[in-house]
Amino acid sequence: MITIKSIRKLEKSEIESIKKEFKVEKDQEVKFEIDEKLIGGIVVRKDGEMFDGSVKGQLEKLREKLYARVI
Amino acid sequence: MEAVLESIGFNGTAVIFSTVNFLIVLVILQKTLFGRVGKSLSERKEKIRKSLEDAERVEAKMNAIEEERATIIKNANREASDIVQSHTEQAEAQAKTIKEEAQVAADKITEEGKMKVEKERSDMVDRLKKETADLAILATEKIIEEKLDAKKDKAVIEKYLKDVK
Repeated sequence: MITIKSIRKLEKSEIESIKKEFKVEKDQEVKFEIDEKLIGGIVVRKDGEMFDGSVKGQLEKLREKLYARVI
Repeated sequence: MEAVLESIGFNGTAVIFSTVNFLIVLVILQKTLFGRVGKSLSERKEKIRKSLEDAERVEAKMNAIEEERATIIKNANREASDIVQSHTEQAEAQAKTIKEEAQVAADKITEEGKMKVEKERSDMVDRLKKETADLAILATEKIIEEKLDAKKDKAVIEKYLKDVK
């Protein structure tokens, strides 16, 4: 199963692009979730692995970089 | 001559007789009283001599005792002086050791205090920088939330899909 999180309901073309990019089989179940905490972008979970393309995730990476520079 | 002696009452017989008597008395006294007196005197003399010798011996002994006493006092004074000197040196050494240990302890406390203050300062600076970073991220989130509409969100997704290849 594959789970796709986003802040809004995705368009069909966007879903197809995501399925294509993550090589989702035609008969594979896809679950969609709305999560406004992501701010923007998507988070894909496939086969126990997470791919974070959300604005929130990018900001968290930026926060980690800033912390690393601080310390 | 005889006439002269007779005129003054001198009687030769009487003189001789008296002389003989005197000699006899003298011999008797010599044999009895004088002998005892002489012996007594001799004993007395011997006693005095012994007393003098005893006195000399006592005086010599007293002198010896006095010398011994003086020696004992001198030795005691020297030993006391040595003890005082030894204790003084020991006390000075102890005082020096205590002073050095106190200095080391004081230096350690000072150094630890400096390190503690420096760590607190460093921690405070790090905390401030982190808080500043958090505030910057929070402010950025708010700005993006306000400006990110569906179109921009779509662009964000497209870009991610392009980058993830």
